[in-house]
Amino acid sequence: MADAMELKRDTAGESLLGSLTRFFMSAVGSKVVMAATGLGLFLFVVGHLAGNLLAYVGRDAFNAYAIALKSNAILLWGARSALLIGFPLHILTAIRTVQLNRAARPVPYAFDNKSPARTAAKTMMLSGLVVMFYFLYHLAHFTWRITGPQPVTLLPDGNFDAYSMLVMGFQQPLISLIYIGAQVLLAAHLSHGVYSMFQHLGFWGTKWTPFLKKTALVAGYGLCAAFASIPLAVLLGIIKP
Amino acid sequence: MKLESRIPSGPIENKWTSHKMSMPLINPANKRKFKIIVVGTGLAGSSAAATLSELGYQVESFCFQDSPRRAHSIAAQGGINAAKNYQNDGDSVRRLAYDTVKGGDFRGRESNIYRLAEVSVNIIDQCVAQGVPFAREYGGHLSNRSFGGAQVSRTFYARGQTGQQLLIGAYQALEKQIHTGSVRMHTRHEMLELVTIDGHARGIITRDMVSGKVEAWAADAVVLATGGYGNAYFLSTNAKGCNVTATWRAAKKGAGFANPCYTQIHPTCIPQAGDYQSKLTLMSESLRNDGRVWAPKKKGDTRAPDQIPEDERDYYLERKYPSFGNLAPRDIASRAAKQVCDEGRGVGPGGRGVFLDFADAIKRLGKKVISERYGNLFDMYTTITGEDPYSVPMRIYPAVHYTMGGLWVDYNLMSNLPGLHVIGEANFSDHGANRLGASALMQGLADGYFVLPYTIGAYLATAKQPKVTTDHPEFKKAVADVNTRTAKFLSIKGKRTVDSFHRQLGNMMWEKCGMARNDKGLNELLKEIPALREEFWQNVNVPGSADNLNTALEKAGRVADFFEFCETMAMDALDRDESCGGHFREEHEDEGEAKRNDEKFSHVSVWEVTGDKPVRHKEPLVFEAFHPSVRSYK
Amino acid sequence: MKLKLHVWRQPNKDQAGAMKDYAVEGVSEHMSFLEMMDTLNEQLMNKGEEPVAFDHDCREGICGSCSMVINGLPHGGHKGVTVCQLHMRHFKDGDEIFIEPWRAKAFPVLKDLVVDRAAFDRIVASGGYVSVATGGAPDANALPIPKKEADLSMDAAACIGCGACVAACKNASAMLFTAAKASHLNHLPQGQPERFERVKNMSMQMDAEGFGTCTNLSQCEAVCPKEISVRVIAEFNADLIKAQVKG
Repeated sequence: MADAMELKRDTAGESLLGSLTRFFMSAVGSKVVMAATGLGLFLFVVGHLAGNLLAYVGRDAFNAYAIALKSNAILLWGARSALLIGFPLHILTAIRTVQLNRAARPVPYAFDNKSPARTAAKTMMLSGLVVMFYFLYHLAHFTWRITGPQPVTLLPDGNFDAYSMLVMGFQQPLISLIYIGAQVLLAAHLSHGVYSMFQHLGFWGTKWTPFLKKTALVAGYGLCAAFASIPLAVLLGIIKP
Repeated sequence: MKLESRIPSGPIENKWTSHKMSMPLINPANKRKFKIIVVGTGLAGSSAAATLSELGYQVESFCFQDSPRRAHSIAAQGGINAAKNYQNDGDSVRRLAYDTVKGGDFRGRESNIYRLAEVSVNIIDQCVAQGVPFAREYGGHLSNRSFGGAQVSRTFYARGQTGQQLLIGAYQALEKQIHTGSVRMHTRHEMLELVTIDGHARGIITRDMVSGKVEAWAADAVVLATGGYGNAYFLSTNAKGCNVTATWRAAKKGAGFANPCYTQIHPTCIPQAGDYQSKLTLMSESLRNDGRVWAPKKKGDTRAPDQIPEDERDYYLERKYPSFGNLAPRDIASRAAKQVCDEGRGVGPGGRGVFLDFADAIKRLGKKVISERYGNLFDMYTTITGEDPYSVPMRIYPAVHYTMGGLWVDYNLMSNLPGLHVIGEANFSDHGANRLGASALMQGLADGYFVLPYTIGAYLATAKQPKVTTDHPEFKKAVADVNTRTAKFLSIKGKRTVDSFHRQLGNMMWEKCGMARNDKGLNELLKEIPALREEFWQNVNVPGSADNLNTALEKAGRVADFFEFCETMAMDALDRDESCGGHFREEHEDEGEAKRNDEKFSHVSVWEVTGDKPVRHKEPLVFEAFHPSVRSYK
Repeated sequence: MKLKLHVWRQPNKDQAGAMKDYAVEGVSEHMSFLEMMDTLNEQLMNKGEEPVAFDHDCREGICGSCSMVINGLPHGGHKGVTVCQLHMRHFKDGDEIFIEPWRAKAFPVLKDLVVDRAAFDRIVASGGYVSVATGGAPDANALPIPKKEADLSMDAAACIGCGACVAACKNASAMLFTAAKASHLNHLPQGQPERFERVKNMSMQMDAEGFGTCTNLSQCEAVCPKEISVRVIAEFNADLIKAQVKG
């Protein structure tokens, strides 16, 4: 008996950092990292959308928001750190778990695995990858301003005209198409991810879990629709230059 | 053969207590010097292996399954009895003991049975402490239900999975000990020989069922917990792997085999659907609370049941046993069904079935109530037969599902071979000629948790045998014997598969040594078995090799042992010229009731099978506390 | 009826296997799937070939031995049944059926359709028990357990350890099994003292065995013959997170 207890307690005496690292490297712990970073990224997306929707209010409101964001260091770096920490961890953990999962089934089934699951849920890696590439392009366009089209003039107060940039971009049907396509995949990603987040963080309720599953669908595709409405509105001339 | 029962003297209430006091103990530091082999990991084997290792012994545990958790104890649905008297309905240790002695038709050993009832209360405590999720009432206390053969509510249960939950409890205790290194577990190992040295059981020979490696294992004592022999009939409710090999091999080395003719037939099983059938499925007996059993009055009536008018139906249980009706005991209900089918009035494919009809109950109580009570059983029936019992009557037929006989053991659960202990269904001691519902689980755990761990110490403390290793010539010889037999199977290269022989043997046993037996049939059987056995050894086809996983080879060994065992079983059935419990001799009946002959047969028949011909010995049964009476259910 | 089978044949653990085609005749719709396999084996042996090895024992859906992936679905994909309870009336004459073993690194194939599931035993051995020795347990009714908790415990305890969850999972993850074993004990007062050590140890063992990670597809729940809910996985995650906080 005594021996049993000692064998079981082989994790005792580990440093906090050691035990946390060990946990975050484990199958469950890595998913906790996925979920926690996913939550951060999700909140970022929601915030981002809120800002974007100001385009409907008008040029001034949108530009005011862009300026406020840039000049408020806490807001800006809060958002940026969510990305700077969340993104790499989310991606690195994804790569690691995919490796673990591939190793876990070295011989594939001859007849495709037909065990039921939503396609969106089965293709998280693919939707995630596409969203990541889109994200880089998006940064290149709006943040680093190395791809076009870029507005030539500044606003009268010397600030950058973010509104014009948005409208100019979306007037190009190709850019709008890429944008909408990425949103659809982001929606698929979130439609599983938002529910999965709760499960990984250990939240489950007889009534809550089915509700959360639906919420994830609504949240994912709702966000997609809201994001995608902007380029459409630009193309249809609802949001004017 | 010396049969010393070692029943302690004194009043029955004190026997176990005083026996525990009088047994020599082994100092904890010395326990680890003893190695014990436990074969089988059902309720008895797992609980014994775990408990012995907790006490400090070195334990080597073996099972043929891929995990100790899969032993067939897992299939028990109903529950486990214990004299807790939680329902305040007048239960007591004495009452449970009496019910068990009477249920066994006064053919069990009273002192062992009383002890079983005594430790039954500890079993429930132990299992709850391990985390067995027994059913509970809203107040949080344990729930009980009543079961056949008892007038009190003393059965504890865990949904329809009591056996599985109890086994998981014992398995978890076993895994805990495996983790500490004090139990070494050998899965997919089949015991093929017992090794005795100077008359003491000192080890076993196993075959690794994956690599085919034949290995010898030496120890200070051997415990067999290898279950019953119901698969002698090929079709039974036992798991496919259940076999008699371990106990039969021990018998061949000199252990007495007690009461092999005592088999229990369960009345409510799903009938055989065709020749390809591989096993039978039991449906809970509780169905008979609301279902009415009937058969057509006319022979060979092939009309659909709803086309048969009321006055052309024979509700034969209600007709024959007006006071018990459809709730007549297992053996009686089973025999009545056989009788109806023998008359040519059976229903379904092969004419081996009777109806269990819920139409009246559904009319009276509504479909909803019936589905609440039996929904899962109805679903199971539909899964297997594709028929809907809500609209068509179920078809049922009796099937073999437990064997009361087994290796003879004394009060210490040791066989007549010193050092060889036998627990659970593998021994004979506690159920006499018929077992009551919910008592098998109780016995397995009683033996493994609370009896053997004490009594084996008494043997080890006094045996004083020298340590042996597997280099001993007896081990070498036993390994050679196993290899010779294996080589023989592979060399026959005949025309028939092992299963075809097993099926034929089982069918013969079922027809002539099944629910009802008679002198003529048994004598015929005793000629037919050796003839078929002869053919088996000439004409069996065992493909593959010995050094690989070879299912045909495994089966061949088991069926070869069944061939020998079945002959002894038939001899025992012929020898016991009376009817008692599950053993029904047609010559001895009183209007369909089993008629015991206490004057001539109040004994345990113990068969010695080491010679050319099995020899019967007797252990007289002594009843001090409970006096034999007639079982009547009219 | 007559069927065309594609069955995985592998001589032993170390040699490679392949799908092999067989025609099996005389199959009755009343047969169970395993009886159809018995029929195939009888036909093979009568031709002098070796029978297909597969695990089976109780043949009534409770021992958890049987383990076949049938047309891409563990246990054939009918709700709440194991292979032994699957009947041939769900197939029709001329059907083609693919039969494969559980596929996972942690479940190496021993022969044909037989896999080694000892990893599950080792997960249980790492902490899936209550450390109580035989004897000295208090009276069973001394500690009332709310019916609701007892039922939740029983829901998880219904696991038969067959491994279909692993076979079905896209990632060959053993989360449903491991979490069910933990949930069974963690819902009972007897399981509380070791609760957090239990989940930590079981999780470590699960990883060491080489199972994949959980991506919440609930494929395990869909094929589980005992219909165990992925609730147990969320509980397991929560307990592991709490275990980090509690040290």
